[in-house]
Amino acid sequence: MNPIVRIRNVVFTYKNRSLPTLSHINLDIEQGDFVLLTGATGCGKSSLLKMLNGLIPHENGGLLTGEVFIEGYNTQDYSIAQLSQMVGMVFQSPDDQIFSTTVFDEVAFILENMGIQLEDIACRVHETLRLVGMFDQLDASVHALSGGQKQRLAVASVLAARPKVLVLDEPISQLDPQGATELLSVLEYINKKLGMTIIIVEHRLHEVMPLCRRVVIMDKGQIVWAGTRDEAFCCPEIFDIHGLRIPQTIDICRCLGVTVRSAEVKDAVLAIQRQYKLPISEVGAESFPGESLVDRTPAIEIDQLEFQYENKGRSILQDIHLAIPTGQFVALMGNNGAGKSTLLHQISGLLKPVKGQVRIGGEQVNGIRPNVGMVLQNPDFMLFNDTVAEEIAFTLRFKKTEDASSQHCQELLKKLGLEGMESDFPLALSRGQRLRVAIAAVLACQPLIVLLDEPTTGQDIGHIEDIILVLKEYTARGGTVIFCTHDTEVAARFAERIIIMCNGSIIADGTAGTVFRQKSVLDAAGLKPPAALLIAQELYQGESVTVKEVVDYVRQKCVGSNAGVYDNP
Amino acid sequence: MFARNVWEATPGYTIIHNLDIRTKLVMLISFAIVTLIIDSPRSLFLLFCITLFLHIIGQSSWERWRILAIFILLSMWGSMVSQAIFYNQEPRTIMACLISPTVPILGKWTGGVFIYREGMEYGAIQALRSSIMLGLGFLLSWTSDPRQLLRSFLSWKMPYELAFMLITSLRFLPVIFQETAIVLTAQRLRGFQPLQSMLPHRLIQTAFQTLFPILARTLRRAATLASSVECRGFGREVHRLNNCVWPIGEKFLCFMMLLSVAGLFILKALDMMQFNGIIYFSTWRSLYDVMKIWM
Repeated sequence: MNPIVRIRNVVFTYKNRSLPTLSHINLDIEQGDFVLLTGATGCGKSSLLKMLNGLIPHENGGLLTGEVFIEGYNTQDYSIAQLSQMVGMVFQSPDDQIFSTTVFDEVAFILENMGIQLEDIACRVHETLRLVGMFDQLDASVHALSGGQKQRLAVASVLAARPKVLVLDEPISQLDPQGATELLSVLEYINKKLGMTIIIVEHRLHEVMPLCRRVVIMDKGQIVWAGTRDEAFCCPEIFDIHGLRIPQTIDICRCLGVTVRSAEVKDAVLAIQRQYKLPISEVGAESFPGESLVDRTPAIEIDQLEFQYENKGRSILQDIHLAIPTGQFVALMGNNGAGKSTLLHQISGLLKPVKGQVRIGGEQVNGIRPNVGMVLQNPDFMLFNDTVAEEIAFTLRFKKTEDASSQHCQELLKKLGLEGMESDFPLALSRGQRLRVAIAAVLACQPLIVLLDEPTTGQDIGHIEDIILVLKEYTARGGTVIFCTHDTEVAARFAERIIIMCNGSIIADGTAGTVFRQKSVLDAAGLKPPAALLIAQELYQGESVTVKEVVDYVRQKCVGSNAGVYDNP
Repeated sequence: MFARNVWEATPGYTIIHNLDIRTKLVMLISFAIVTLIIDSPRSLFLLFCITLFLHIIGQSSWERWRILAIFILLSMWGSMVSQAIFYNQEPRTIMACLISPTVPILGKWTGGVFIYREGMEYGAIQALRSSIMLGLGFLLSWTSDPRQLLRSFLSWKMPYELAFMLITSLRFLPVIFQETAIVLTAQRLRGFQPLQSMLPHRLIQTAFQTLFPILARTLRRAATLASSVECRGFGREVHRLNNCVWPIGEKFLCFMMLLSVAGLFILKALDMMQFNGIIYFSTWRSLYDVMKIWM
């Protein structure tokens, strides 16, 4: 059987670059396969995808050697428009790619371009929208859709042409768990039902790996590993080497020396049970960190806070009571529209409460305060200087409190991996680097409180860990951090306290262990429990929420001591 | 006002939404020519009322009316104030004196600053012209699908690059408004006070610092949109079927509008010729009287 995608000795160098972005790429993908293409940021994954539908070299220019065949057709001999009928491409941000005003028009666009008659278009659009579960929104305005629905619409808008191959460039990176689940279910369905080949680039491996059949890992423009998903599960070390995130189920098994060929919780539990005989957890048998933090001085106090944007508008925040002690690392979670960002804006003084009050260090907040730093979800909006060094020293220089080349700024540059980039233009850096510059710029002022709005979005685990380490160090020195995230695994691993919001109210507040075991709370907030918790519950009816806690518990109970502690590679 | 969805086109089922984009474009062009030809304040006011009436038919939301009102009032204020002070045609009637010519230095240097009635009237006419175009421009962008607009431009043989650039600018205008607000917020959060120094070089630097992030983001977005559209088979070399038939009724309406514009153009020429004594027909006196009032 001939592969549907055949890449032979491809080397590609962008215009105005001396080194190739892709070198010696050879890859075959079979019809109906579901391939996960992953690797650290900047390794060339997106460039490889663009090659499949002719954007490279037809649109991006540059020097391409080697050959890319789709169904036997050399992409260099066909235009992007012709290739669009064979390869559909979905981009990262749904907002940037949607062009029309209604769902119907957006899906019909590609069909009109193919020259299909009006009456056939309607039929095909209906059929496609049924496939992605959006038939009910046929005439809806694209502005009325959620992030997940918009991304499903983006899939539908290329799926309408019934391409042989569907390629997706980090399609879930900007979605909340609910939106990501919706999209991945659609991809799984069309892969199985239509037999469509799917190639997906993604950092959130723990969510995509259970669906895919093949995994391809890239590094520095080359394919460094390719194999089936089961083979990938058997050698998780390769993911560690390249700074990639593996499902917690696999990570736990790997740490316990158990081999498992699936990321399913039940398979991991069975595999562990075959090797370890575990007693049921006794109350207090598990140890959780961060329980002794309640007696510290409050950094933030919120009383009866209520907020709405318009006089008779929908209530965005309702009766919020909160006290956050100095030095605490807090994760604020909840589905989109729960009120997380609005709460951060209240704390930062950007918004004024309709009722109640917010106090920072005992003083009521009446406006923006210099001792509260905030990092917005999109770091691009926070960067407006010519160089990284100027950006980091900007507020300090503005306040005339410290020189741009201060020791503190230099340390921040080093810790956030920005050394050697001092003279670079911040907006020309990669997304991960831009976020780290924005965080460094805020931390440089040494505020009492740092608020971060979804800093983990679109970041690989290596970058997330770098950022968290710096923030942890900052809290150790007395700073307070509140960060919004949808990632329960990151929150469970790093946050001392989890606050979950739903419809403008706080529905749960406590340590990861106490919050994440409340299934009804997670369901209401559209969150997924960490896989470690599910394993702990299945394995020994425990409440451990991190890989470390599960591994330590199993080792302690079965080996008899905690000597061989979990070592996070 | 900074909310993105207020600026973006929204689907609807009003007559205005259902009109073919080409009809709306012809209407816009016809109104543009007519507002330039006509000098009569009452005719311009009538056209302005028609523009507002079209917004009523198009069921513009409360937020959109507010935006329209802000823009119209600002343009009226700017135009009337500037013309009232700087009007230099004759005759002109002084309504008020802001700086007397006898005031030392400033009065002698400027020869006095006055408010002229004719200047104010002229400013009002200019403001009506710009308000009509502004109102119609907003109506077109709020009620028209960018995809159809692009098709219309291309069906009129506009170069692909130019058409796509026009649509992209329309598509991203709302985003730019929204993102400007975010950048200003980010700057406030970082203690930036853009108007702390009014020195020209500082103001220029401030403008660049505000524009940089917006431009960088917009460029990235535009590149993604262009790639996304091309990946869906749209491009300069694609010859697509013209699925959007321009209804005969609307074509006829456009024809009539263009014919009316041509008629008005001829009438205006005749009016100018009689005014300058080049051609005058005594039997047309009643027509000249009507033209004097309405043109």
